[in-house]
Amino acid sequence: MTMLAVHTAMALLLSFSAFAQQALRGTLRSQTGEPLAGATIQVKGTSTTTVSDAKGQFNINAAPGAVLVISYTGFTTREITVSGTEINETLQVSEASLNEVVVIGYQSVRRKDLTGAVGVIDPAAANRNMSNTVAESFQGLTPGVTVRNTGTPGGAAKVDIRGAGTFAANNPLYIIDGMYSDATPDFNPSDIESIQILKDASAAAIYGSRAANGVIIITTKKGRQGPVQISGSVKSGVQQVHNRYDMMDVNEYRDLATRLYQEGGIPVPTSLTTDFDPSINTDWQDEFLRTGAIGEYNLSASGSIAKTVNFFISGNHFQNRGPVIDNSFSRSGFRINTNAKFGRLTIGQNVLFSWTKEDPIASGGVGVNPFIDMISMPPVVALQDPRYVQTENPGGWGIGQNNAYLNTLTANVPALQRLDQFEQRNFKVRGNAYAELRIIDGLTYRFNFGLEQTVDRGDGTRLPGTVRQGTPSPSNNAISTFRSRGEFKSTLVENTVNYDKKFGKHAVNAVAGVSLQRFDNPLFRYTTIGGVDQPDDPYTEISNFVGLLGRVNYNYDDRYLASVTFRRDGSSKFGTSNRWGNFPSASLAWRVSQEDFWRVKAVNDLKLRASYGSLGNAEFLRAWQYYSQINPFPRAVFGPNEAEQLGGIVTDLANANLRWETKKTLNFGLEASFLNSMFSVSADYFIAKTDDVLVNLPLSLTTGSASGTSVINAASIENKGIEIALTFRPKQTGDFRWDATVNFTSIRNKVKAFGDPATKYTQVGDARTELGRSIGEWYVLKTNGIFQNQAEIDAHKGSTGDVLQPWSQPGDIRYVDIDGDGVLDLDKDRYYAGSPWTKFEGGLLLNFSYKNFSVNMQWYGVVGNQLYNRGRYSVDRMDQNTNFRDGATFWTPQNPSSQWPRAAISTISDKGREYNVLPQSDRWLEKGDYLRLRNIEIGYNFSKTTLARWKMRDTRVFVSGQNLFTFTGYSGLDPDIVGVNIFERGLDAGQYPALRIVSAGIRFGF
Amino acid sequence: MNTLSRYIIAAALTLSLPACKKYTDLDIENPNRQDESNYWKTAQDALQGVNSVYGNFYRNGSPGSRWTPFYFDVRSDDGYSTSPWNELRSIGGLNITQYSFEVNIDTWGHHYRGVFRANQVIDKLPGIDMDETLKNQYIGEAKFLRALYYYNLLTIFGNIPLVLAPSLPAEKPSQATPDAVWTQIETDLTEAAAVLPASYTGDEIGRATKGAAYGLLGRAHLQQLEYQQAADALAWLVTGPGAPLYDLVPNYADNFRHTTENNKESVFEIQFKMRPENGGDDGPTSNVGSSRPSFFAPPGNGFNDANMQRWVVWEFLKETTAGGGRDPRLEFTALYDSTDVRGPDETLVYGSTFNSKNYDANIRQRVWYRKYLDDYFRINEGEVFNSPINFRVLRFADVLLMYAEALNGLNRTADAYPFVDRVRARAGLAALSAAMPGLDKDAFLKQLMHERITELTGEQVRWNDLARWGYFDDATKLAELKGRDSEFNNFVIGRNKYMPIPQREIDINPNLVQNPNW
Repeated sequence: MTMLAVHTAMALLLSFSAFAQQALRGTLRSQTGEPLAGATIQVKGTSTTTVSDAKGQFNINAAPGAVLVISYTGFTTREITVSGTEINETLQVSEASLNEVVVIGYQSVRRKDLTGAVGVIDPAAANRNMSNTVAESFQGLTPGVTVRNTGTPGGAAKVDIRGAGTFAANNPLYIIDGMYSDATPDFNPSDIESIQILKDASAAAIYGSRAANGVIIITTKKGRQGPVQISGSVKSGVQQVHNRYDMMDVNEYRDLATRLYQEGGIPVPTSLTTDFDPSINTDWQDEFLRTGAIGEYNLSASGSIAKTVNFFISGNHFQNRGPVIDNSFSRSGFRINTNAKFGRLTIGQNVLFSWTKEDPIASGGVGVNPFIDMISMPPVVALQDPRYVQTENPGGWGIGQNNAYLNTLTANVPALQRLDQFEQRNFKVRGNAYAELRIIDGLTYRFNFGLEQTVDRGDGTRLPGTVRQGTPSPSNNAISTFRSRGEFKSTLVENTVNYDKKFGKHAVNAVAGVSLQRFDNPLFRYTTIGGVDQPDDPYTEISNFVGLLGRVNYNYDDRYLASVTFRRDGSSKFGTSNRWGNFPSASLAWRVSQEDFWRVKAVNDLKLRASYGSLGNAEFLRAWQYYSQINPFPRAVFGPNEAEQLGGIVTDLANANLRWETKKTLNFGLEASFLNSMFSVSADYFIAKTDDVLVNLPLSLTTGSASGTSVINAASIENKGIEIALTFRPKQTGDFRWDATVNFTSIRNKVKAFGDPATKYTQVGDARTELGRSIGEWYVLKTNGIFQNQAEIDAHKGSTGDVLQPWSQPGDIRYVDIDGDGVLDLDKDRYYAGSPWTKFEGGLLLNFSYKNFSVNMQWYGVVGNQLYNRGRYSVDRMDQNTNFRDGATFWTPQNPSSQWPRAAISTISDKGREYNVLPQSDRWLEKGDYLRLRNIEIGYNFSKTTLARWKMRDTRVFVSGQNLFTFTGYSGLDPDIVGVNIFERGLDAGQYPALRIVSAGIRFGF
Repeated sequence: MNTLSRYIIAAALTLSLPACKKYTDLDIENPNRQDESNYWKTAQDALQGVNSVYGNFYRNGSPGSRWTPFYFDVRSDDGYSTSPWNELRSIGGLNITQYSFEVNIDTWGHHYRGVFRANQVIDKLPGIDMDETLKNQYIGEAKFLRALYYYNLLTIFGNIPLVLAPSLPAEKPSQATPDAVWTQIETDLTEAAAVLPASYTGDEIGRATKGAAYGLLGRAHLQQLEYQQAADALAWLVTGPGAPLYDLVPNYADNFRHTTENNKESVFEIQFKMRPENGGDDGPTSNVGSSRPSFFAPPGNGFNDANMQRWVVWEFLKETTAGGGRDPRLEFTALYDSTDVRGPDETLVYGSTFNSKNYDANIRQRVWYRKYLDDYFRINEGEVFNSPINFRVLRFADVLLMYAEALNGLNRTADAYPFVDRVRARAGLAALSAAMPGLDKDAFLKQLMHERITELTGEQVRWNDLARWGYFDDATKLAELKGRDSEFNNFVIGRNKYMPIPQREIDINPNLVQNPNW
């Protein structure tokens, strides 16, 4: 859209010409007669431009016969040949989005000619978010695309396009200026010209085996003919973990903990009695978290040299001081994109140099989970105190002492953050160079060479010191250092031929070619302990992909559209007999509104689409996984000198018959716009079935395979879904304007078959993936309140008449005998207590403007999923010395409760109490529904006239708030989580929450 | 422009064609790891293979490592757990409800890892062209190790799959009868004994010997109450060709220290070594030490997940040495307020006196298993996950007591006396033949039970001793255990003799049946 408002200031300065020119006057109005202020008028092929004033009037110099290009955001661009001295034009509200060119991979088509399901993201909307990655910035902007934040500074967001089609490698393919890539945090979102998301098989088929999870095509900005334009932006703000647990202070904690110890019949630690020091009242959340800062700076220039070479240059710096101590991320990028045309030949290149630096959260060590430990650590423990100083704890960090004073197994995570220093630095070059030769009219040959190369350096030091009771200081209390050096190189070589021709009402547009890609990734690690080098295992991963591709698009009279795609892929990740896969697809579209018989005036555009196709997937595999390898490390010690003798044996089993995972998608789509495009709707329904899903499935441990899992073509999964996007753009009159877009997605996944017919389900943690059900549904015990007295326990009988929980006491949780066999069994008496998958998700974009002010809001919400709150489990179980949530208590005869069961800190077995804290119960599940104001931005656009005075253009100041409000019943830090793996998708195991960011900034142009 | 376009095409082709081979090759050689198909060719491969079976000893669930003592000692009547980790405590508490918790999974899985590796050696080595004697020795070592793994699996879990060939990923074996597993253990040990050398020198010390095979074979037969076969096997070490190789070391404590390993009393040891790094399983910096002491050390020095019952101390005090002193073995068996006979002011816990430790009243009452603790050299330090002390799987004192038990089982009670006396003599006790002459078979067995407690407590034999003596099948005998260890109130005859098979395994393998009553 920015391209439509061009060249203002420059035009005023430079509006002279060598040609015989005449002064021309004009007035621009909308269909309703409103004057249109701020429209851009350019003499085509020149740099002469002007802007209409508040009355819609403009003056420009143009020779007769010259063509004026009149453009205005939201209206169709008009071209008028100059024939007089006065022009009065009425601009039509645009159907511009339909004529917009969409990149579909090796080809572009007009949006209205699309036959597959393609989502187009407005980079301006995406850019309103301060994001680590591009992916994170488009949460909620288009249906069918689910983005979950990782929150972590420098962390990549998790993107699912149309649900979980596969168990493990569900990340979409990124095509950045024609280069195959992945979601990297090195990318500068403001370099983006356009983002298209290919969702169905037909749209993505040209990328074949790489595209089963969808494709995100990112095109960066290109230089344009005309004078040099400078653009820039500065944003800065503060960042916080927006939500905290309300935990007890030291007095409340002391009271409850004392009662729990007494209940458990063991001595109360002296830290709560004789040695109690009320001045120690550590708020561990305060010690671990801080207010972070975030800043983003961009400057770019674009233009052309000698009217031949177009260039776009940008520099960018992004700085994120994380909201956790010792946790930060920064990125600097420099981009040069150029292209030049010499007659039949076009050559160009796009290249990005990027430097990133990340200081992640330390999580090393047994049982350390920072976001859970920060709430579990009792406030009676000092962050640091001479009392704790020992040989193994020279810093005196507060930890459990395992003695009469203090016992706790919680880790001191602020201490770990300080003791464990690690920094990851990456340098990356990513880009491509291409040459395009127009051989004859309509026939073009293109050579494309892409390269992505990184130098990855990790440097860490672990200072001596234990951070958890009983866990020894690592490396026998010596300083250890860790360095990693990696080089990732991905090279792409492509030769393609495009053919584009019209024959009367027939139009053909075709591409065929070969795409070769090689990945080469050596990794070295160096560890020293106390200055002594340790053994290393350098590892190099290499793989090759070969793709043969072809597609023909056919268009008859803009009414009937058809597309056929074929791709044949080979991958070195498979064994000899399974390397090649064929992935065809076809699609059809019918623009009903173009038919002569179409008389429905209210519907100004209507298109129906259908497609079917198959796509491969091998992303999950690493190189050489199709055979068992000899592990050289199981050494043995012998003899008086403790000599270590070398080993070498198969420790992990491999499946020799791995083959392509294949996803077949059937898609029906509809696009329509009504009432002169005031309303438009796009809807898709799809059924996608993935066969031979590649995943690590647990093996029977009797095989002796060490990892306990192995990659296998394990299952078939079906996804059915519906995606709808509605846009309302009322007639734009007066100073107040607004528009709204709602998108809505509902996807269900279901496991249709397992590769091994004997397998009926696979259980990971407390989630079970069973035939005929969704992936990873919660499979847990069913609680049914709390026994208030012995009579209730006695009355809780099974089908056989026996008391189900004879071990229980009043205050214990009542469990349901699900299978009705009269015995309460921890494995058999489970039920499906909910799905980690949402029933619906939706986004709402609202844009308002009044005169020069604008307000943009982005809402996002999900409904219908269940999350497992591991943090709450850790502090509510109350059988260990942790801090407790505000208001926590436990059942006693004097203080009965229907919410809090009996509890105690004890070393004496009590089955009733132990059953109250079973992890596999629905006690720890919570609804994951939420509605979030993902972003709000209030901005002021300086008027064109003001800017003209300042010799500037397109300048805007704004304040924005990200994740300001979240409406949810979920008690954890953040309901927007991705789980720990696909089988435990709904498990909140203390992941980094989404962050609140408040920022202000300016965008400007010269 | 035509010229230019020709250049461009030529350049593109030049660029892409030589690259073609490199880019189109789908059969890329792995520069990092050997492929199984080009392995098992040389004597070096064979040696590395058999070393890898020993290499599995360093995993948490492997024999003599972190978890097996919880099954064989803490679960028995001489131990209990005060672990804050409910699930770990439930092993000793005989009330496990989480069958798939880490410890039960690792114990099952890490034993089968050893089986898998031994199976590879036994299967692949016959095809290697190498020195036949050495090849047979390696295969013998693998068979010994496989038998050791199966002995533990069988006595812990009871009904187990018997896997004898290298596994395939999709394998879901059924359970074998316990008899079939015993037979296989005996076959493996018999075949191993035939080919293993009687001893090693230098950097080979620590490999399985002929004596180790006979000793374990004797243990296996005795466990089945096959007294004649047990006596026959053990005789090789006690009175037969192996007798000169074995003796009791004068200082009892030398059996539990890293400075006196692989001594004359040692029949088979797991060789642990302290290296600073201990990351991951079977990686370049994996642990080769024992993580046991962290779990057994008293509060402040370790997790204190295991405690010894105080009655074991009383058992020692039932009899004084010939000189009227306290049984010197007590000091090295139990760490408690009077490990030093002079009491808590003199008793040292990792270098500090018992009284100087800030123990609460409850902790002061505890007794800890002292064997294999690093307390004698980690002065005022915490315990570690990489202790260097070798675990003695079988030592000659046990062989002597087992031999005596076998002879007694064969009604040769009188013949059995001298072997018990050898063990008692080292502890300074009067000869049994003098102190309690003429015991009948039952009384002698009863006395042997006492001798095994005082000699072997904390060495992972107690559970199987109780099983062999019928304590788990007889309500009267069980009552005796309940008297000593209240956790046995949770013991159900017909259930608790064996642990439940991890539920994870039953979920994956429909051919497995859970043990009775679990």
